[in-house]
Amino acid sequence: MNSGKAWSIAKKDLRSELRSREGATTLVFLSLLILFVFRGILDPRLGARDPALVAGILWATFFFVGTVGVAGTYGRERDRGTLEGLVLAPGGAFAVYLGKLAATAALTVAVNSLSLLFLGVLFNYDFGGVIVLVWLVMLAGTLGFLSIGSVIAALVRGARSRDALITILLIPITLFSIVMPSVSATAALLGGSGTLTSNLYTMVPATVVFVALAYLLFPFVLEE
Amino acid sequence: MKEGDRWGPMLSVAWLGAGLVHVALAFLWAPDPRSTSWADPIAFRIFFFHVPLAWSGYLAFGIVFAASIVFLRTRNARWDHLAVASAGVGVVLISLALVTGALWQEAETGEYWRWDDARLFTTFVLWLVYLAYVALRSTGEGGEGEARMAAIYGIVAFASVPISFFSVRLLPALHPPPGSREYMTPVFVAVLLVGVVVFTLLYLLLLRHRLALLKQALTLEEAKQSLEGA
Repeated sequence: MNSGKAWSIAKKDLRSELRSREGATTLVFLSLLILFVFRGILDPRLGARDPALVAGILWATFFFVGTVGVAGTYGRERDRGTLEGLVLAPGGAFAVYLGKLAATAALTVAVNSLSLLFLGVLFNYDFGGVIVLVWLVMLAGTLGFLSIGSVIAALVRGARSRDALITILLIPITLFSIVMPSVSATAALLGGSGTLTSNLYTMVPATVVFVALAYLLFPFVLEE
Repeated sequence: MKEGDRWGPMLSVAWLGAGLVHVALAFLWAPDPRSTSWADPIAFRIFFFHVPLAWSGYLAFGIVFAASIVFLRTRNARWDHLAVASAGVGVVLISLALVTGALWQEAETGEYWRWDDARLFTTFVLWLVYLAYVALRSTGEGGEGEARMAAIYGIVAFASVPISFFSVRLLPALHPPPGSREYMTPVFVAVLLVGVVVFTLLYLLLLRHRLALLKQALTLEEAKQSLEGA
């Protein structure tokens, strides 16, 4: 039953997104703007040949796109007063979490894939054959980030300053367990120092712990 | 007069006495460490304050975690008050631990901050996380909603600390490893223990004051509401 409810919620969110494109438009534009800012503030002569630099720029983009992406999902339900319906539907609170997470992740991963393309064009950077692996690390990092980001977004959905709060609450929790290992793993793939596996050994358990926390706490999170 | 008002000043004065004894012990009784292993024997005495500050700060955050869980289960506002008071005091204590650590680091190595020190890194994350908790409590939402929000964040926040520690485990341990150095003489351990007791008492004292303040704010709020209702 749980998976049925989660699936329905994910489908509903994605259908609504496909019709309005309100999330995607903002996120794609945001991604372009962040990359433009990096292009603008960095000396073009430096080029983007340093793997650590490319990985850092990529993840700064993914990070902010993810934060804005996750902020919308629960905020919109709250504004339209439809969250109550999702909670009351049989299947439990965790199914709401999973469904929302799936929809947000689909949207964010799609935008992040575009960001990879944008970075390649704007910085004239050739990923070469590792692009598939870089994409997989992006997938793992984004899922890890959103796994706890969804909890925070749902938690502060009713607060007046919810967008600022999501950033404030999410950065300290994920910076060291998800974002930095993701940067490090990406840099390793692009030929920098560090190893892929040791960083995955941090990100994957962290994601599992975050999902477990969501399972335990989501019934409390959804209370009104 | 509330009972807290009567005992508060007396406890503060008593603590000040204990704190002065600790300062005297740390600077007069404890011998210099072997000068070969430490660049600055005077700065070394920061240890007697730095470690107890960090300890009492960790304790404060542990209390936030425990109180958050109990609040979610019982919905008794008293536990929420304990969590918010403990978080505020904890942030102050950890801030001081970070500052004293940075000063000591500077005296020893000439650098205030080293990003490759795993324990400093973890403590810094902890500090950020609870600063965020305090920010969450300062949004002015108020009431049961804010308390529930904060309690859940208090649990997530505490759980994120070991994860952060895990994620920096590959960094070299630049921090002095506890219990394995020549400076751990019986006198040294005794002064350190006095420090731990003194700073744990400081935590409890500040917590008590903070709780009394919260209680007064609540009484004021109730009085205002009853006036508006009348």
